[in-house]
Amino acid sequence: MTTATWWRHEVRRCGRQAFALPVLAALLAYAAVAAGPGAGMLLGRSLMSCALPAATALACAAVVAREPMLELHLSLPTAYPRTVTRRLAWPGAVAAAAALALAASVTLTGRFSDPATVFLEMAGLAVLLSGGAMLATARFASAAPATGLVVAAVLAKLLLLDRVVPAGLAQALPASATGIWLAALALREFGRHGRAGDRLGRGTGPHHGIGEA
Amino acid sequence: MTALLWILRYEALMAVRRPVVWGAVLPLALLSLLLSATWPAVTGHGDPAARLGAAAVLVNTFCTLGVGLALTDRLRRASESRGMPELLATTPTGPLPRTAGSLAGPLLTALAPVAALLLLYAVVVSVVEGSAAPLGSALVSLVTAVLPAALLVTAFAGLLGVLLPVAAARAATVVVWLWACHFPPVFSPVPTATGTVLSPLAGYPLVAWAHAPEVWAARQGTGALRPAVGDATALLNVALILAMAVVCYALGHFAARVRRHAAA
Repeated sequence: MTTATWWRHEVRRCGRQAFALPVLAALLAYAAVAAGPGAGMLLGRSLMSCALPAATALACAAVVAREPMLELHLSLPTAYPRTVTRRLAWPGAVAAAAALALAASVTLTGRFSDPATVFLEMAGLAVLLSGGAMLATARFASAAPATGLVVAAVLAKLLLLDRVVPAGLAQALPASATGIWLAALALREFGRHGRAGDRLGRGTGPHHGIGEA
Repeated sequence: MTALLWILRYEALMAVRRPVVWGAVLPLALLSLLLSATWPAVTGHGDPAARLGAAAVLVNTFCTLGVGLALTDRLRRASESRGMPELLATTPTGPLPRTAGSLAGPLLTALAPVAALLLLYAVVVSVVEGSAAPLGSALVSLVTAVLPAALLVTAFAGLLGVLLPVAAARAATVVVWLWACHFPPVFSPVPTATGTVLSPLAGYPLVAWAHAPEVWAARQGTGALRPAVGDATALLNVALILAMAVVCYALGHFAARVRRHAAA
């Protein structure tokens, strides 16, 4: 098996939403920023800093939850947390590319006086939300609590935190440090889950079926 | 009818025993409690009943959305899984009560902590202010606003969950919900349902019956769909929300059956 087939397999395993969610969120944020100055600016700034991170976190949670053949993975020489990390590289790469394209195109429109601040905020929030979403998915073995957590975190940032903490590095640094710590906890949880033989990806339903689509 | 009640009972119990739905609802419930206790738009009102009405607006925005997010994959799972649906098909119940119960049972489970938190907040405000009006306001808003909105968001998210991949359906539910509830005309560059009698925020019954501040009904907009607040418009708002919930539920039921037959 060459590296190309190997990565193509992992990309297929992630499903279309790992690609579609970050790209659609970036398009939505660009549309909101380009739509107009004035009253639309608050909306544009909120969507710019939050839409792409939230979509990335949802994509990461969906990728992590989607594993119908955990027992097979546990029988392989590669440790399961390493497989999850490798799989997450795809939504991560898509999100990074979308964020760079979004930042470049927004800078070209010239609507923001400080595009670097918004970009930093976006990156920190993306790491934080993805880590939190991964941990919630690992703990509950379903992507639903991760979604609730992501929505609550984004709304808490917009409604409460933005009034207290200045945007930019002051938010981005603690956010990304916490996010990396949460992601590490989640990966450790996957190792533990593997040993205990628990199954992932059961969704909220009582029925046993294939993993969450 | 008895069959539906039993399905409701076992579905609600199954949701209690595997607390995934609570995991999705609790972060948003805690956020709305925090905002109710600290936000000037809620705490700034002198009338305690108005404070409860504003808190009910928050609950109906965040917690109801959480319920929808938690139950997005219900219909899809029932149509995709093998084994349990066949077993349930051998019981003397129709397919309609089964899908209705599989949505409404966990809905009741998910709403229980939300209702408990709102009532707790109402009791605290009632005791501090020495009046029973906040408690009445909370009860009225739970029945006339939170329950219909939760039915609508569950049916809508279930329908989207059948049509789209689940993560995409959840993202779409969030966007549509915020557009329909908190996108007032002054703020929005696109046409919006916020402030109309179609809005699932149920602002009209909250203002008319639960003492919420006037601004939450029409949201400073005008037009034929944003009439003056009264008993008739409040009833119309609730009836439209319930009608939309029934339509979404029927479409979701139909789509799940088509999907299941196509897969079989």
